[in-house]
Amino acid sequence: MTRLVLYRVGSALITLLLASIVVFLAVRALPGGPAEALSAESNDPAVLKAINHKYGFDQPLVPQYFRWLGQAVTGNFGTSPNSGLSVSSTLLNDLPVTLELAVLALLVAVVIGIPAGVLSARRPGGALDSVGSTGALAGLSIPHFWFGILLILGLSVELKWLPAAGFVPIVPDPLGNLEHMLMPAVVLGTGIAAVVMRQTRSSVITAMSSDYVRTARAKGLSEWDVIGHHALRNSLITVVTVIGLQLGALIGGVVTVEQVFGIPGVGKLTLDSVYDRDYPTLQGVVLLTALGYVVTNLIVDLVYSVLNPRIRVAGGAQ
Amino acid sequence: MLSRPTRLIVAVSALSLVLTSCTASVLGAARNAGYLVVALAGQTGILDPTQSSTFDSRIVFANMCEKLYDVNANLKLVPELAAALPTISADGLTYDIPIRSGIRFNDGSALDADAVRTSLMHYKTDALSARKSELKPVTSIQALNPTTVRLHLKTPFSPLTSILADRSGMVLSPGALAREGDNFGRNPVCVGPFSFQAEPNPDEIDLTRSPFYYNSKSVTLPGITFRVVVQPAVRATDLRSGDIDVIEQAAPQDLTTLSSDPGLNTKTVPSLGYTGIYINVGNVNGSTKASGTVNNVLAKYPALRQALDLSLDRVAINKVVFDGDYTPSCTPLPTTGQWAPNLTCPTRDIAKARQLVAQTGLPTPITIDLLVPNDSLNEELGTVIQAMAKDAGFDVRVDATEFTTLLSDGASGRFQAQITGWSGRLDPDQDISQFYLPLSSLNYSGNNDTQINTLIDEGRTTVDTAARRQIYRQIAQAALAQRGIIYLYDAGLTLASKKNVTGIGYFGDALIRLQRASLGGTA
Repeated sequence: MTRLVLYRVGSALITLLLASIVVFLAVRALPGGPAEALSAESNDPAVLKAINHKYGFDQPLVPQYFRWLGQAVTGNFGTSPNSGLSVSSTLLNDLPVTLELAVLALLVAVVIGIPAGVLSARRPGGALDSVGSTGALAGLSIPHFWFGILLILGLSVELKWLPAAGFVPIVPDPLGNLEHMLMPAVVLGTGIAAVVMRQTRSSVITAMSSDYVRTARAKGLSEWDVIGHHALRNSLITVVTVIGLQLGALIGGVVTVEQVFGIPGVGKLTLDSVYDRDYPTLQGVVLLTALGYVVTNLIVDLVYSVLNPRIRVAGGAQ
Repeated sequence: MLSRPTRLIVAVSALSLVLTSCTASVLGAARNAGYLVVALAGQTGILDPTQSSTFDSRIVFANMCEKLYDVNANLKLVPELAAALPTISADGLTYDIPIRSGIRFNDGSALDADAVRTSLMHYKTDALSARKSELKPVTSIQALNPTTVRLHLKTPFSPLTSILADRSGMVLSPGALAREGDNFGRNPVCVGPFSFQAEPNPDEIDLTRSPFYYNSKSVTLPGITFRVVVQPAVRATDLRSGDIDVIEQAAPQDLTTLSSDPGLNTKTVPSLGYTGIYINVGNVNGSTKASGTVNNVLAKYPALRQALDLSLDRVAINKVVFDGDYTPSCTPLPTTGQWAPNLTCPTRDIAKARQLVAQTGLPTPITIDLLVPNDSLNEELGTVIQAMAKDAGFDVRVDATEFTTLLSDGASGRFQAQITGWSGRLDPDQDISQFYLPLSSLNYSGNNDTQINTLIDEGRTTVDTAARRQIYRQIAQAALAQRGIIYLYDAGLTLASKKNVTGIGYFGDALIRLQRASLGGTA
């Protein structure tokens, strides 16, 4: 188990190093730079030069990269030339908001996706399966922006049930927090719920034709015991993997969802940083996102090995 | 009893939720009670008048950083921190500005002529200052006594007073300036009805009522929260749901809904700025380098520029793309007010356009690569231009481009034609000179027309307003003939607010003045 963990952590560190190089070069490949974006309507060459000098963007790329990396490993991602704010403090502010949204969206996905998948798998081709499959297709097809606006129009503008935008901290207002996060989480979660539903359905259908399920039935267990304790339990291994892999979709989704619902999170920060050519913020966001992705997959790998001892044994033998 | 994997999933999810929520709760910000929430259409950038270059920062500054001069509802210059309009010497080289007494900055320190001098010198000398070019004609600044500042100019410069009614005229607290230096934008201190409270994230700015404001009795709001909401549709729905109290720049496609909502008020003012098609007629190596010959048929054949112009129906563009809410325009001057041009814009004339194209002897269709900002309205505008120009023999290829790339391509001359807008300034010189004088950083087209250059200089050095008006009308005529920029329209800028919000000052400069605003029931 220790060797498996060390191997996975080593791979993760190499991935992060490569990601840092890619993001550093990619942001600089964009036309224009922070100075041009910052000076916008004035665009005075002397000012552009002064801005680039102040933030070290006029230095050769290699020293720039190592200076940034050296600071980044200590948690200092520099200062945003656009807002003048510390990137680390901005990330510290915005990241928890996005994480809360992501966790809630995953909860929505799990709460909708797994029961829907199980119900569909119980009678493949039946009425519930048709409804579930159609719903999953809709969940996958509806763009976040459109679905978000639709929910705002219905639940906020017409019914006045939920606030349309913004973020309220859970302390001292947990209800307000939930009110603000419900629609974004549902919008973000439904797409993932569709994937979870389809994966659960497929895995449970496969499991239902297994020998151990037949044996469980032969023992006289009820249908729900068979599904809940035998078929679903074994199916969850692949479902957990799929949920981990949905992190990419989640990251892509938060960019839109945070724009629509005015949530001050990392997704919105990413988009704004691209528009503003805010190199330090963009580098910080992408590196942190890569870190999140790598760590999540690491956790999924480890959870997977806990759920399935054969993987633990095989991994340890590497 | 839950199974082991289920327990694990539930535990991880619950733990993550609790951890992230708790951290967010420590760092996040709730709506401040009684504060007016205003949605801005774009990022403000750094909140330092020295470095600021965005329109939306000006809206925030309008409520916390007063200027030497301001405008009234008729866009006439009026004193704000100055006690009166400047006394200008007969040769136009000396401006004496009387400063009001008894004014305090929002940190409690007193404003005097020396503080004004410090700010103006800072704008002129700071390496990161975006105000340098605006104050370039000012050679020295003196505090004659505690209530009088004297500016010395190397040449007469008529736009100066109006420039002092924008960021160059904002007076910064000398103490805060010394304390914060380049980081002044993180804790800006000026004179204003509201003072900077916090910027919890780049999308939100909180201002609180200033206890030091000289006219604090007129201020009823306890504070303002500015929130950046870029998408127009989202701004509109947020306003209708009641989450936002005021929005700016409501999109034409939302206006019908907003206007018909009984709970909302709307007010539209014509923009001082414009939008046009910038043609690269001479930008070879960048707008700040000498103009030259570019490989662009539109530069080589002025008749093609005229043909492109004549293929366009500005009135139809306004109706189709902007629901008739904007104003067709063909010059850099505002369509209303004292600087309005006295000319009729060309109307669509396809026969003449085809004839001009044929005169060049070039095979048709003539391909034009048109860069447009990648938002829905501009993409629609590009498509309409494409369809109209096709009738004259042009094949317009519309390339929707992200805004910073568009600016970068414009400044470096990497474009054939691009649609770009300008937010506009009070004095027409500021709407023209930067786009026509050689080596100007915003002269993306690479314009260098001797007649226009001479007239711009005349306009700057002429003091008499009526004479200046004639000069700018001549410039408008010359620009229309040259067509380095084919002007299309002046946008209408719509402010929408909840019915219970009263007292908003919203004039032709489209800034939102909230000094006298109140929020019904909470003020």
